[in-house]
Amino acid sequence: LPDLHIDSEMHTLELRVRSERAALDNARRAMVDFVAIRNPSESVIYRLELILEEMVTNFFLHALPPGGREELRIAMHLSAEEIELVFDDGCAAFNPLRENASAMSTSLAGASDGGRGIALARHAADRWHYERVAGRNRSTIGVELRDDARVRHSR
Amino acid sequence: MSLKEADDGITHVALEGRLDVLGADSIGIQFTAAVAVKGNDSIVDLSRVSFIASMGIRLLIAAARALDHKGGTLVLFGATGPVQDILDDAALEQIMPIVATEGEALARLAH
Repeated sequence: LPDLHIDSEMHTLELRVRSERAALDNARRAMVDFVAIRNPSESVIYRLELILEEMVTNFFLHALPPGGREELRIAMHLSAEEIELVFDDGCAAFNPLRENASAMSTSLAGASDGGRGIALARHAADRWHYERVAGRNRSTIGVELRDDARVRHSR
Repeated sequence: MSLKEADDGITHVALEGRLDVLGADSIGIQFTAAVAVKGNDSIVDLSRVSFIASMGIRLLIAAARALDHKGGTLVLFGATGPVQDILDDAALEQIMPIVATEGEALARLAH
C-alpha cells in the first residue's frame, strides 16, 4: 500500500484513503494483519472491521463533496488493553456523536434504506471522542481487546 | 448467492460471504431481482454470511420493500453470532421478519 506506514516499535499504523473501493479492502486487510499481534477475538475483529467500513463509507458517501480531493487519514494504535482508531478528515464539520439513530426503529413502509452506519459503528465502539481541530474532523475510537464484558445474545 | 424456485411457490435465496459495501454492491441487482421480479414470498438464508454492515442491511431493506410493493414478504433466517448481533443493533426485526431456521421462515409465511 503506497499510503500505508507501520511503526512496529510504536505499535502504530497510519493509512491515507483516497478512493473507496480499492482502499477499503486493502485497509481492512492491513488492519487485521496489524492487530494480529494482540490475538484479538473474532468479535473484536468484527467490531474493528465494522467501524472501519462505516467510517470509510460515510466519508465517501456523505463527507466528501462531488469531485473533492480530500483524503481520509486513519491511524491505529495498539496498547495492551485496547485498539485505538483515529479518523481525520478536512471536510465540513460533522460530529458523528450527534447522529440521530431514529431511522433504526420503524416499519418497512417508513424505514429509510440507509442511515444506520454511524449508529452501528458507535455501538461497536467502547469509547468515542469527537473534536473539530484546525478545520478538521477527528474521531478517536477505542475498542477494548477483552470483550468478554460485552455479552451479546446470539441465536 | 444461490437461488432456488421451489415447488412451494416461495423463492429460496442463500447468501454467503461478506455483505459489506463491496459484497452488497456485487450482488445488489441480482439479489433484488431474484426476490422482487416475480413477487413471490421469499426466504433468505444468512447462515453463510460472515460479515454484514450497513450497506448489506440497506440491500436487505431495499429488496424487502420492492417485494412488499408486489404483495410479497421477505423473511430472513439463519443469521448467527456477530451477524445476528448487527441485525439486532439495527433493529431490523422491526422492519422485516427474522427467524432462526428455514422451517420457522416457511411457517412465518404460512400465517
